Amino acid sequence: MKKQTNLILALLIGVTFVGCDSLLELNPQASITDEIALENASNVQTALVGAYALMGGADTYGGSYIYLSEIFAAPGNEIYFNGTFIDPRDVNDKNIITTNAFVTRFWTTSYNVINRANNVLTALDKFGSDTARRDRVEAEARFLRGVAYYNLVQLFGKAYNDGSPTTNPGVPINLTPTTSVDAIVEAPRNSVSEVYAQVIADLTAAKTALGPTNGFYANTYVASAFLARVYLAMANYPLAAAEANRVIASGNYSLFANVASNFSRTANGSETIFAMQVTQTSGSNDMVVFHSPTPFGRADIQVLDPHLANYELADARRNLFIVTTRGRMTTKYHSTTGDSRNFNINVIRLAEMYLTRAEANFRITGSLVVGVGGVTPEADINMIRTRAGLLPAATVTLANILLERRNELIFEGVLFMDMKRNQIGTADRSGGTLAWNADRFTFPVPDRECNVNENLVQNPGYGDC
Amino acid sequence: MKNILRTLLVGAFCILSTSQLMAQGLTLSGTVTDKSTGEPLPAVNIFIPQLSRGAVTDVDGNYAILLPAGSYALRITSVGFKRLNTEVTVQGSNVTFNIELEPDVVGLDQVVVLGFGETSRRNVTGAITSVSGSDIEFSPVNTVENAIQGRVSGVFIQQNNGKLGQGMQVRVRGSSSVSASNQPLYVIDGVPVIMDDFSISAATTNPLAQFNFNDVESIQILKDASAAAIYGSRAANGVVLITTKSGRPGRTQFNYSFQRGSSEPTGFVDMMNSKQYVNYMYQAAKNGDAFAGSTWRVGEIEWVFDTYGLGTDWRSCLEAVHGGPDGACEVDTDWQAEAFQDASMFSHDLSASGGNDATRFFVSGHFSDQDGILIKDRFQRANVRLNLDHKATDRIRLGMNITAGRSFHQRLSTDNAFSTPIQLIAQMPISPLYYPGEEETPANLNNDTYYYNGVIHKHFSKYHVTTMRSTGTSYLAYNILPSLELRSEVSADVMTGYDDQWYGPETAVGFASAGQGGYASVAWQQSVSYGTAHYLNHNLNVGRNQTLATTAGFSYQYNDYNYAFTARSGFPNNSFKRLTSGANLLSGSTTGSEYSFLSYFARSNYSLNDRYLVSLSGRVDGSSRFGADNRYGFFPAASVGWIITEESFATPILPYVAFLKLRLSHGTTGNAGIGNFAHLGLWGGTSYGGQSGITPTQIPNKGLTWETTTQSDFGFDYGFLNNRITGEVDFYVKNTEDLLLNVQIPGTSGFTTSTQNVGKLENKGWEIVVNTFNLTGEFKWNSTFNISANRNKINDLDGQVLSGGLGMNRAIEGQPLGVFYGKEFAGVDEANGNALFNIYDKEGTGGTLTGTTTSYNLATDRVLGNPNPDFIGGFGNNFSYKGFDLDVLFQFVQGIDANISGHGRWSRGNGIFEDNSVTDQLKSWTPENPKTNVPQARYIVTNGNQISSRYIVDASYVRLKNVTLSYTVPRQFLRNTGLTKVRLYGTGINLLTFTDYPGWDPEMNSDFIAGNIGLGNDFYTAPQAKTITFGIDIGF
Repeated sequence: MKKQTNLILALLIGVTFVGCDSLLELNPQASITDEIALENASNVQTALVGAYALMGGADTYGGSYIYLSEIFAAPGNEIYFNGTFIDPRDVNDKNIITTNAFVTRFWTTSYNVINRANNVLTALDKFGSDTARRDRVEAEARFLRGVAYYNLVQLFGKAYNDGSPTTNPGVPINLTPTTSVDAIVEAPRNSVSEVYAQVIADLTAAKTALGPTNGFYANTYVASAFLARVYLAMANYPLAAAEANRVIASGNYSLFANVASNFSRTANGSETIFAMQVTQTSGSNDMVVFHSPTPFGRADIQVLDPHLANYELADARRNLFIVTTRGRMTTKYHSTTGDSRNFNINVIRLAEMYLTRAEANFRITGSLVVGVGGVTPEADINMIRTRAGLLPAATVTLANILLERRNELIFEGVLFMDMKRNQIGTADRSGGTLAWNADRFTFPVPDRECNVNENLVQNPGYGDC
Repeated sequence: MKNILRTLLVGAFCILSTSQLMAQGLTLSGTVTDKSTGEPLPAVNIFIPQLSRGAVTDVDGNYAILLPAGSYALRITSVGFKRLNTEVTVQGSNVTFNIELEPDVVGLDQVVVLGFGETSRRNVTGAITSVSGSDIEFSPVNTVENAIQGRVSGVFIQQNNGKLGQGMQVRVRGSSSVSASNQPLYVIDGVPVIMDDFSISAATTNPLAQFNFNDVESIQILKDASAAAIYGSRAANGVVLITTKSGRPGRTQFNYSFQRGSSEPTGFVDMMNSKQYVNYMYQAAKNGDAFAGSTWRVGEIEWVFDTYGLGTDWRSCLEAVHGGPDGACEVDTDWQAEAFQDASMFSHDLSASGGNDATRFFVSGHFSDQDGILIKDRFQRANVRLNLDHKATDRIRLGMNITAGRSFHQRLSTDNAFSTPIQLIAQMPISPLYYPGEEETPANLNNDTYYYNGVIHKHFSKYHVTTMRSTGTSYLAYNILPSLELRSEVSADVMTGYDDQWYGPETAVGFASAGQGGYASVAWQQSVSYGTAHYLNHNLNVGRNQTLATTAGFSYQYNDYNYAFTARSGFPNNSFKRLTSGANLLSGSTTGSEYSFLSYFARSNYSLNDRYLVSLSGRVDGSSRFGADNRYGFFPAASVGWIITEESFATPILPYVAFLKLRLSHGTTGNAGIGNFAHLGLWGGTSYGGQSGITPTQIPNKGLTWETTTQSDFGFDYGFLNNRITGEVDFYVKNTEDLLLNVQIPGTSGFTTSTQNVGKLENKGWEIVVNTFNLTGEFKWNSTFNISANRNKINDLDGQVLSGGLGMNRAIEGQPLGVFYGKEFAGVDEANGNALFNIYDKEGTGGTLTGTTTSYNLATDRVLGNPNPDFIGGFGNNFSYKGFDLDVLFQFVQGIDANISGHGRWSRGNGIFEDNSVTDQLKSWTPENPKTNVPQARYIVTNGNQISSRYIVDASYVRLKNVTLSYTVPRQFLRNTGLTKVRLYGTGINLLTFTDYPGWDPEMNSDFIAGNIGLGNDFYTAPQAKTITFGIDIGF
């Protein structure tokens, strides 16, 4: 009996010993917890880098924002998605279903960028007395957020010039980070003009606080360049011209002698205002997946003959194509030398600023007089024309300016906003035409968002949310 | 919670200590031995009903009972031995009465292994299905789950595809979770084994593939809460207990077995040949132009044919209607045939078992080498085992089971890769396999096909996965009293995987080529579980014909996982495949994780008068996977049984009903099958432009806790006509609540999902098992039949809709998990060949059909099908005559739907794509053939190839799963040969499949999207293997 008692005792001691809760206290090894993630200035700074990383991801500027908006905007019988990925194929066909995975990921990833920026913006107190650094980090976070909202409202909202922007639904604005399950909200869509106001507020704050240089990160001129885009979309030509002029006048940037030098780059060049950085081990270039032929991509986005008709025969930009067994491709994302997957992706470059200034100056006066920057519209246009190996034009019309812009920037992510603001319709892959403000010429709110947010409304033509 | 358990534990000890001994004159004593081996049997119950008293044999099989003179009926029972009713008369002096018991391997007294103990089938009050090792021994299948398919009621086993070593779906009584794991817990010789999937591709691999199932003595599947609750938090999906063989005292018995065979696919899909393809697509181009009012499609398809025919003559086979000579095409490649290879297999098994009174052992060695039916697929397995038991003293026993194995696996790409062999069917038959005019060597394989030519992978890539696994457990058992045993176990399970891939510059990896100099990567993974368990087993005979068997103890398990990956490109030439020779370092990373479980468990099985059975069990589990406040869960269960045929009033029916037991159980089990740190707010590392960054990856949810499943089971076990007909019937209801759900949250939060305790689902079902001895005597015929039905329904998801699979599977309230959801195909407009979709006045179900539309977006989303089966089961027959033995097993799955995506949307897509089509598309709409359900073929026009009910088909099947014919040479011929057994056999697996399924094989689930919700999708999913082997089995 004594033996038994001892044994039971020993066992109970064992239970007590093993019962120590510390055996269940384990921590992740490849992640850190939210309690320490933003505990000091250096961490907040790396969180900002994390926001840039996603902005350069495959579902935003590393790929889908640019190629989806381009193949959506372009007539399908001119720029033709010939791959078997049904989702981008439907985008090219202006026949998007609400469950389109590429469209869905563009939405969710953009908001992920915004959440990352919001996290940074709530942790600025960690910089303490280092106000210079704090202001810069704050400005960059607001820059990224502003750009993300601009991209979202472009594709999911009606254009600024389409009906009433104060009542047209844009996208939900969320300015606080999601740090707990309880903080998740089902936010309704803000109006198009509210989203534009947020974009301008963020970009203006960035422009004000940032300095003239900041490596490959955003600086004050990058913010201005984006503001020029935004004001152009809003048809606010004086401000568009002013912001574009500010970038040009800074002297920070200069046009390459050869337009082709803008592409297949592994580092920013003199013309680069903002580009997503891609290296062997960081960043992603999903443009090559669809634009580049073997060995790097699927060569799904074909350039059909009607597109070539836009270029004069002497135009250097007419040579930015390559004919493969999969049809004609742009070489903006492909090179026969080097690994195309490791090239940076241009987001905004100086040529666009000349084109924006030219167009805005022209539209302000409706004539070819000297405008903002002390130049005439044709002077700016001829900068671009002569660089492309063309003769300078003696006189230009608005149509000339717009065509120049289209030829210069095709496949670079501005075609959609240009067509919308200029009220130019498009065509599906069979050549069926769509008006510039057709229902099918706006992205649907992703089905998954409708399912989890009862305060959302769907865009017309896509059923109920 | 812990306090409750400690109280329980202390309580358990309090009832362990009573034992009655009364002096009543004479002694009846003796030894109980095993009739087959002569070995003394401990723990045998000798019971005298007249006295309501009995005794239990000690470790040497001895017993003694004090009793008055008289004649007594004795009932001798021991788990695993047929019960014996006998009589003895005690007069005048002490009597020695020795008893021999016969082993029982199939009947009511067979051993049923429980967690931390065992009992007899007669006394089981839970729902437990057993499979004997001899039923599956030497089955020429890849893994143990394959081997038990069709043999176990209530367990739906599905192999994803015919690739070797791939993940399996095993569902015990349905799916009990939406987002957390639905796989059962596997316990081998008491060790909950690692079930980590080491695959670094989207297709899972089977961690049990290293296990040699020829070592199996028995498999028990614990299905209800009462049986499984002792495994608490990990038992909600059932528990599979595997027990391996142990030695018996006596002469060492050797056994050697060899088999050899070959495999082929169970089915093919009838693809178009070149002539059919060319004319079909040509017409599709004309139709497309006519439909769109364009003129370019015919030119486009001609360009496509010229380009991908590599300039060979395809015009020669254009029919007259297209202005051609209606001859043969120059090239007619059967790409489907290129996907398959001649597949052979062989295996060697050598085992020895034996021992003496003190020490028993079982040792085995296994080697097998199996080719898959798909090109390059191969799986080798080598495995050794030692099971050792030793009696150190009368009171102390110890032992060890240890196994070490290695598998070498030549893997294939996932179903989603162009390089997976089955995707070859999409190639144009006019594309030659080799460049025309070139010698047919690997270097001349056509690399200008429409899709990447997967045959190139066969020659210019390697994907070798080597997995090493050692599992060992040691125990020390100490008999404090004859009836009280303390058992301590320690175990380790070490699994290491080495994933070695190389792709030459000729190949395409993903969407891009492997690049200059090729690409190679290595992934190394290791998962190590350490465990220990300490518990007391007590068997007590209490006074008036009562027995009480109690188990109580605690266990701890810790798992540590490590992962390393690196990749390089730029190799000097194809002879260099190791990373050290690669010029560019592309990637290098490591990560790791860990988890632990700390558990306290107890169970008491009580029996009164051998007819009233009560079992109580419970477990308190603590897990590192939950936050400090929610870490512990309590999982109790209770069950009762009533053996009616033991009642005196049942005596009149005994000639007809030999055995009838009612069972009722109720209890709770849990599920913690989620990520290791799902409750924490997490940030991960990233980088941009060469600078490091951090990003939020997970929202914290401090309140996260266990998913719990409450199950009630009512069943009965029966034996009719002197037990010629036996079996069991079960009805159950399983309700799962606080689902560990990957809740979809608004993307505007920056996240898309968050793991939360949301929702409820239920599984209801029944199971019937009938075993019959149809003929006994020289010609024997036994049958076994099982059929089960499970109805799964999601009761509450808080309005959430979760999707999975290929865009069609959903988890939605009111429906079974994984239902197919989407637009309903309404057939073809007879007037113009347009695909039509139905419009209802209500989404989902119900409502009325209000019309049809050609506009996909305007059609109504409906529930279209259910990928969960209505009925599953098996029907086995065993015939034996003299030395011949024929075993025939049919397996069936009925009322299950599938989504034929790959050969549906792409190869039954009305010529929208350049992919080759299935010949049934030749019935597409034409003005002459307006009554058809195949819309008009239109090149580069969407006409009904969107996801819809058009591609939802019935995937029911009945399969001749296993046929084994064997001949055992009679012993008299073996005299003087030194041999004790010679058995020759032939086995056929999956020889016949009866199905209407229009794909390769109805048993499939595309590997890269298989999951809890992703069910029943066929995306270029390889068929199962049909295998025939011949073997010899020799004992000496």
